[in-house]
Amino acid sequence: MTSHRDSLPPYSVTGIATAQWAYWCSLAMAALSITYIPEGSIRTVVLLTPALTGLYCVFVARTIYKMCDEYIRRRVVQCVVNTALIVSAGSLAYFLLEQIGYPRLSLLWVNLSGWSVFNVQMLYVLFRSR
Amino acid sequence: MKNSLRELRAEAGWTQAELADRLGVSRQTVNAIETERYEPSLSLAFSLSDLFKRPIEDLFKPQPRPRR
Repeated sequence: MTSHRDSLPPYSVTGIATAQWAYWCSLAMAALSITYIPEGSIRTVVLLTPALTGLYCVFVARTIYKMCDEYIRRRVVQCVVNTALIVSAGSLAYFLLEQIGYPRLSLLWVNLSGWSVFNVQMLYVLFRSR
Repeated sequence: MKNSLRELRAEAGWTQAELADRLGVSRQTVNAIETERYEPSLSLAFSLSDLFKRPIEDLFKPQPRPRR
């Protein structure tokens, strides 16, 4: 049954912005840790933190989805679909460019751009809904 | 699907925000229904019908599909 009890959950914009910020910071920290932290368990933990912040992004988006009304839910699903289309088209295009000599990129960029594109769309939807 | 939500809301003298509050949805949802960008779920259609004390058929009118 579709719920339309709550129009927009409180702190949803802050939640998305915080999750995106935490994801970027953890990713930067993980990238720097390869150079600055000696090999060992601490470096392994730091390297794995982006996976946790990625899960945090999923948790925030899922919580917002469950608490919103039906129209905003549809917009959230549209954000997911748009992100999938943009990321798949972008990665295919870059794969073709790699064949003609463009530098090879890590799969990390797909993840980074995917989350960023998704969260920017979510922020737009949530700002419009306030 | 055509709807007469805008007219009924104007008759009641409510703003979109007031109607959204009464229904427990966002103002954006009311706006999307009024401008026919979104067709509400059955439960929301029944809530609208309850609120305006009109049958659903008065609120929503199906448009005939164009023949191919």
